[in-house]
Amino acid sequence: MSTTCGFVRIALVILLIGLSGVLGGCMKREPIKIGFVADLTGKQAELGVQERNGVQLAVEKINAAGGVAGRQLELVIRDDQGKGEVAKEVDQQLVDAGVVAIIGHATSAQTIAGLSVTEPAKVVMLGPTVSTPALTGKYQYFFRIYPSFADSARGFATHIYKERKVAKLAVVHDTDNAAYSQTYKEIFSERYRDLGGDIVETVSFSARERNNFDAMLAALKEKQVAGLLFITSDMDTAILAQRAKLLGWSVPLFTTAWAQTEILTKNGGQAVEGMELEHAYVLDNQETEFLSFKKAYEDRFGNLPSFGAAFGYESALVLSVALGKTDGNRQGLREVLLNTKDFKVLSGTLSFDKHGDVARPFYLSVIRDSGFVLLGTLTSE
Amino acid sequence: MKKKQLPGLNQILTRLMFWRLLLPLLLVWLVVLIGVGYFLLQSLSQQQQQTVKTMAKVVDQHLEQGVRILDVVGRVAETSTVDHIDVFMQSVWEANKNFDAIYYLDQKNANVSMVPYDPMYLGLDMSSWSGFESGTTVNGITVSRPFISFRTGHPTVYIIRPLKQGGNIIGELNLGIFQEEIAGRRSTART
Repeated sequence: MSTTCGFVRIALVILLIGLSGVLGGCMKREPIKIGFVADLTGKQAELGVQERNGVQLAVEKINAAGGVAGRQLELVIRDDQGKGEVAKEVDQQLVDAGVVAIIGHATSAQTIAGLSVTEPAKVVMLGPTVSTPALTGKYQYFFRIYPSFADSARGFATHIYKERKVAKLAVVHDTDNAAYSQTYKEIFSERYRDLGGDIVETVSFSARERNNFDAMLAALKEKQVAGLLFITSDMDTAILAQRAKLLGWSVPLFTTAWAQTEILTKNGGQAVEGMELEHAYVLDNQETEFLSFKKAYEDRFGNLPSFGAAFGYESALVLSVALGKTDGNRQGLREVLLNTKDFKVLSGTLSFDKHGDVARPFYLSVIRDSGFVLLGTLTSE
Repeated sequence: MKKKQLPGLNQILTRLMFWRLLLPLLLVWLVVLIGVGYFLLQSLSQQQQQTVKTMAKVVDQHLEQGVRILDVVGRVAETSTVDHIDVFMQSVWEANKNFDAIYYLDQKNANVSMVPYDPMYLGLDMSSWSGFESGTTVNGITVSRPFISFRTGHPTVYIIRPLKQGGNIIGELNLGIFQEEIAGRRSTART
């Protein structure tokens, strides 16, 4: 009898353990869905892919440490193909999928398109690399961790005119990212002209079309400009510089943060030696956390991170901490982000202002020996 | 001596139902649940491994074919003038749609000829071109790491075939079909 009772007790214990295991599995807490959207296919996809990788790395790190509010993060990824209409569609898909926030898009044009969906839906969008001042103060649910280029464009104009003594400039810009390039050109040109500089010619092209850079540059060369500013992608800047060199034209070359990648230095080759650019991302950052991120990124993805990857990573960190304060919920997320001050990121700290913008330093660098060499900080004065 | 009280019929039936029927059934159910769950996980894992192996094999064959074709172009380039190699490159490119472009770089790695013809790229110094420096080299031919082509937007690899006289023949091999294949399998798995 006592043997039978003992056997029965053991059987009951096993049954209870099994049942609780099964029930526990069924009752596992739902993950927190975060949307990510950028151009992941198409000619300009490199930036979007790097941003996605940066976000993914951060999410994996956060989940390995236990997630947010006891829940794992689930990254729901969509491709906007670099097109405004697709950006709207996929943002709607993310909203319908119940994401608590969206990190994206990679460029200004798609961000503006996507906000027409996320803003009415009151879903926070956090832009890793969007810098057009055209977005400042217009949207309640838009935040960005990349500073608006209003100050850096003015600072760059001052540097080119006063320090580089370039008084006659031609500007070449890509209309596919007009929200960035057109606005940059306007702010830059206004300051440059105020200082006494002469924007001799402004030339635009669409990167999606077949272009004749030789004819464009030959026409500019005829106008005897003293310098060229390219507001174009890394690849287009590299090719423009090479084509100018092939035309036998040697003038100071300048470009913007959009082109700040290895693709510019490698594909530009000798043609981009001495080219100066303004940017917000310091490639030779020696801070421990940045070096750790750089190594983790290279180990995970097999190549060095670009600015897109770094800012994507920071976006995910900022968002995850904010979600920790709302217990993983959308409600209250906007207010928590607005109150985010002195948040430690890979390089320094950031604080959101009342518009969801951040104030971060801009830098000036020059390309030497196929690498970026930091010259100093750029101010708007 | 106290007489032992016999249990009522109700009690006997309840005990029998609970201990001899319900409890064993629950135990069996639990064992079956765990067993089926384990089996399903194993099956899913094996299926995914099989899919990955199949995809890897197909990609391998695609790359091997690309390498063989480019090697032929290289051999012809080593014994021909630029004009002749132009014509041959054009034929190869037209016959083999997997190459988005084929470049002929001279001893200084300047782009002296390419198909399809694109004046924007002709004459460019490609000696430090992004993607050329990293990859796997077998029998002297390098296959680069995958990247997204600036010209086409497709996932691509470079196949780099050095020439005896200096310079290289470089093919941009499109991997877009595999991306579509993976996307297709993913959406099938979701449904």
